[in-house]
Amino acid sequence: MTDANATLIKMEGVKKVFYTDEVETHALSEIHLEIKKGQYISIAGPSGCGKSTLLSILGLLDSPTGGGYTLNGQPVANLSISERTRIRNREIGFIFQAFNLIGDLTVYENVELPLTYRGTSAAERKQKVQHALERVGMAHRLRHYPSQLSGGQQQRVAVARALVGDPLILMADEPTGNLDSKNGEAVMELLRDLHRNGATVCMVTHDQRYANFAERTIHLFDGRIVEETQEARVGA
Amino acid sequence: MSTVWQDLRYAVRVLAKSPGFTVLAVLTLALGIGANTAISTVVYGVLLRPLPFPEPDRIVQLAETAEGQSGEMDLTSLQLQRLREHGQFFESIAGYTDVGFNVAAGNEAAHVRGMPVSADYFQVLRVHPAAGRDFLPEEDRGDGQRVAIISHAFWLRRFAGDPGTVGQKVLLNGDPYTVIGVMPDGFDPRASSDFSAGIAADVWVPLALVAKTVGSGENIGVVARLKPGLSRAQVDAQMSLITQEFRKQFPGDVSARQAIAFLPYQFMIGSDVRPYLLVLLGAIGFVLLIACANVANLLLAQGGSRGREIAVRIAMGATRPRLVQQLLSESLLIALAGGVLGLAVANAVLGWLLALAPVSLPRLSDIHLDAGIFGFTLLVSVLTGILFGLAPAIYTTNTTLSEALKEGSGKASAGAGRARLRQSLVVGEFALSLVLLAGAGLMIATFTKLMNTSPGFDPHRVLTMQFWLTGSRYKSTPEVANYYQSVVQKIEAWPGVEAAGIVAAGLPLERGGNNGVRIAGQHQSDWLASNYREASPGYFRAMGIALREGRGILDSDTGDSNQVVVINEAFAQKYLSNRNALGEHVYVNGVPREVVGVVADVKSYLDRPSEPTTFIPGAQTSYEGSKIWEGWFPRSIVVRASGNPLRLSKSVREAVAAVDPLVPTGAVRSMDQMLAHSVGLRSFMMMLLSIFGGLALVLASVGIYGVISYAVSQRTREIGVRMALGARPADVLRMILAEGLKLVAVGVALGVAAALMLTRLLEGMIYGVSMRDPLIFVLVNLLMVAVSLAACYVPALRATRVDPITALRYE
Amino acid sequence: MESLIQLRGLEKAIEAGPNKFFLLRRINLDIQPGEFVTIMGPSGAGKSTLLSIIGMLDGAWTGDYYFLGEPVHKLNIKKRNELHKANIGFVFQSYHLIDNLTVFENLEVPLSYKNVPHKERVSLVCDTLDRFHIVGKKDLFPNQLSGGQQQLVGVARAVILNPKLILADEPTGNLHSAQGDEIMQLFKRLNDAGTTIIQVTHSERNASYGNRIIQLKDGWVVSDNATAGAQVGAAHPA
Repeated sequence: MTDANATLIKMEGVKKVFYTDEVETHALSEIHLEIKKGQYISIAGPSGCGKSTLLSILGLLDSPTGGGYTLNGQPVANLSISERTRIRNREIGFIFQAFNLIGDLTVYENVELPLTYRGTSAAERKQKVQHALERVGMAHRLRHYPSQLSGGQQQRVAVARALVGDPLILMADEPTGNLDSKNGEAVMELLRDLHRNGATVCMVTHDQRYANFAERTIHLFDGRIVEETQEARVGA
Repeated sequence: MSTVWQDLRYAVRVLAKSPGFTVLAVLTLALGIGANTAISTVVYGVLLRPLPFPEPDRIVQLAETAEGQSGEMDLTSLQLQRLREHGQFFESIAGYTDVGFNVAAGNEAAHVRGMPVSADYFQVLRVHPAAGRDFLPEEDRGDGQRVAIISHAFWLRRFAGDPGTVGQKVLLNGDPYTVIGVMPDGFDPRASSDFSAGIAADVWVPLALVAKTVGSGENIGVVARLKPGLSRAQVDAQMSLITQEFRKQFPGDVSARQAIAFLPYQFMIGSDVRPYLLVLLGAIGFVLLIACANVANLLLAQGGSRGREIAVRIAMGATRPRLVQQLLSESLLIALAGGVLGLAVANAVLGWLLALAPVSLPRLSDIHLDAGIFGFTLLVSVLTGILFGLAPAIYTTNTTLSEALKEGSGKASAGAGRARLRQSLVVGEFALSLVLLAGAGLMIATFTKLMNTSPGFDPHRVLTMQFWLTGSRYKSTPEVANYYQSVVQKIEAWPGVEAAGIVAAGLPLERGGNNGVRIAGQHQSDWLASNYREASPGYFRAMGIALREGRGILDSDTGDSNQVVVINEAFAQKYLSNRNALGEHVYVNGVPREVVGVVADVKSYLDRPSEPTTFIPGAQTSYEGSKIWEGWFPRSIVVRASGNPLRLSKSVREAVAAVDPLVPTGAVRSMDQMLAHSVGLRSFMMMLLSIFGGLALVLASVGIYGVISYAVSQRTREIGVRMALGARPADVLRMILAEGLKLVAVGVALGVAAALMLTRLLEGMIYGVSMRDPLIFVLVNLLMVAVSLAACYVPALRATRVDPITALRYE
Repeated sequence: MESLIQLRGLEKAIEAGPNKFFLLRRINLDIQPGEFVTIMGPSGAGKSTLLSIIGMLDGAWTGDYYFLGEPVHKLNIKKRNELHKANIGFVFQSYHLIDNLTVFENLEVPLSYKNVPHKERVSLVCDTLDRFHIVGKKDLFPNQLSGGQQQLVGVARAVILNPKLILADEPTGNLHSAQGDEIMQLFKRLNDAGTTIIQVTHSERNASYGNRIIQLKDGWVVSDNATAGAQVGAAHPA
């Protein structure tokens, strides 16, 4: 938990408008948001409120129409696609609802993916992948293909893939959405453990039970932040 | 480098995971690349493979060309001499012509092709005798000396490969020649194509021996070796200067319309088949393009289902070029697999092509797969891989991330562009197919028309056998006439023979002699061009040529009797219009002859009108003149059989040998065979274009099937909505079929436009049918619509089975 | 007055191996012309299934179903199809407009399946465009419209043939709240003009526009009440 008070993410007046010939759809308006290193933040709200759009912008999968976004001190709102790709690769780890493992790659190769796109040496890749899989308890399944794993196991591999590049922040989009409650809980515990060991986590979830795992919850409605709640820190 | 390796490994795995797709793609390409390689091999072998002479591109052929006339004409020996004097840009220049030699040995006779050549002929080609020596300049001066250089094959055949052959004598046409050299094995300077029966020359003798004769001296082929470093433009400029000088020097011979031109020597060889081969090359190129479009289509469909994977990779930090590289390595892998398999296909197709190739295809022995072709195939494979892989790779990597990563969202917005691309590919496939099918249709119509064109005689049950009398013991016209009579009598005595006769200076359906004639009493500034034939009394009956007026040739037409001529109807119409031909006098070879009969027109070429022709009784010809004709066109015995004529081959040979074993005989062919041969190139062309067109149509149908299937799967929701709004299955079926037809219609429209332009390339190959024949275009269009409707019907039927509830829940 | 819809002992089950799993159980329901009915209940309660059956999109059920007195359970597919075409309009949660057709053409789709002559078709579409104040959008494609506008077109398409019944499955589920309200007001107006409406929704707010709420749970009708403040006389049979 080093440097706990440093600001990792700062959004100022971020908006996202989808334009078509005739209409502007305001998916996000006037988003002000600050996330500090080591925080565990959850984004909640009904469907269509803009949660996923916000997460896409936070994760540099998409760029805002307006407003400022600073990631780790660097303005990232208006970067070129290739710069965005580079930062995403190095600084952000993604966990998706549908796991999004690549079916034709083994567990090992899936986890290795972010490293191959940044040119890490083979030896270092091997060591890092091994380490990441150990952290999620999947080190014994290196040669398996995703289809040979249960949903919970797949999501753990996906978490390992998100971790492997030592990102600044983990972005999780409904990470338990495709899991039964037992596996869902296990993944949430995993995220909580990671958070306790210093990881910054930003999560979108529907599920009230899991929203409580986070220390802050941001409520979105019609593209605006309407409320922010602070949870008591769970455990110690 | 490691990423390339990684990509390839992954590509292997991806391809192995969808074997259906992989096999279909590889097979499609193997077919396309294989057929392409096979045709390219033929084209390369016949037209492009460097001739087996040092620096072959410096060798040129010189010929007289006339404005508005295709084809090149030979030069005269006088012109050759002048060219030599002007040849500051020729390193060497030489003339050659053809003769036939009777090579008698002991009790057997044989006929070989001989080439009188000027002394530096072999220097132009830069090929020298393997044993012995080249001609000396003095051997080719004055009337020439009787020395001969022989081919390796002849050396083996006639001298049994005796190392002491050089210095020995050989009898050519009864005259002793000293063998001074033996050419290396396989030397065949003109790739044999010019000889009607495809026989290579066996003997070379000095040109001076024939240069002053009327026939040979006026029909000289000229080849030259250009000095190194000369550009084509420089030589062209020089040539036009020389032409101007020639016009001054030979005002009678070189008119203002004529010019001396030069062509690359290689170009001359195979100039007859060049347009055919190039059309085939273009056609097979179309097939390959269609195959590429199909594989690109498959890749796009596959890419659609891989949107998620691509999106994940982008989210993980893959850059677009990196992803394109990854996808391209898959397509390259497919292409290379297709290429390797394609070589096997090429090998098979090539064997089949060569078995079917018309004999008029020159340089057959130069057609084979080799390292160069392997390299070419590899290159084609890589290029096709990029061609069909690039667009799908670019489209597939162009996804909207946040959409594609969501659960269940199969319809990324990039899908629209992809669908358009797939549709354009199918449209292109149909357009190209239409061009091929139109070409095939035109060739089929041509072939049918040709087969229904009467050659002017009854070709069935007729056998012909070539023979030569030069160098035999028949040295005057009466002796020749007697010989004819004995042979005909001997053959007619055989059971199964209905009639027999003899013709000289050319059979029907083949090139034959022609000369200038004059009509007595008619004032003419110019000679009238006419075909010239010498015939024995039985010839018309044996060949089945109908007599229209007067009489045919009789035994009573001897050297002492009235000099007569039989003409054909074309002659009568063209030169004796509106007059009773019988009794007119025609000067042939300067002799006035009375027209005693008119026979039906006989075709030398099925696709051209019959030319005016004169038939002179064999007993009334000039012996020396006949000898010249025989140098080019063998005499033929013509036998009408009561059954299968080929069964008589042996008997006819024996009959000729029984009369005189020292008369050499040549090819034995039935007129049916000659008829088939005369349409051989077109039948070959028709067959290949039909196969290509069919292949193209099948590939295009697979393409439209894929596109429509994919469209149906993409539109499941829409179809569900429509059904919820009241669409009946028939409405849905109609809608999907209409979608397919729309693509076909655009493709066909483009194809018709392209075909109207491209079928022009078939000019000269088609006969009896317009290049814009509406019936053919309509039939081809109907065929395409029918086939494509069938291809669309399956997915359309599937669309009618969409369950609206399931479709609407699928969001 | 004759009931518009009469369901008697309607059941739908799916076979899951040896077990029969009921999606709808012993449904008895009468809906009168002019009602605005809301079907509510948790996920999996059978709401959408019931709507599909009423809309005659789903034919695999048992029991009796009378539509305007016609025994639907006895009709073949073709007859059902005709009955549905003539009387029912659908509004979907995700609009289900056809992407590559313009607004005008989308509105034309139901007409094209009913042999309406071209001239009449054009005038019907134009009338409807007018009525819904979307004339300016007639040449646009669905993806050029906001969600609310798309749903407006969806409703317009549902009513263009002037159906007796509109079935709406979560019609505002994909919309911002303001746009959702607009659509609900539109339904209200249509209902006031005499069209019967049955909607499925999760939202209490949307339900308050109607005059009757049917609660489903595990395939059973668990309650059937008039909404607070509904005009009882119009909603319930005497």
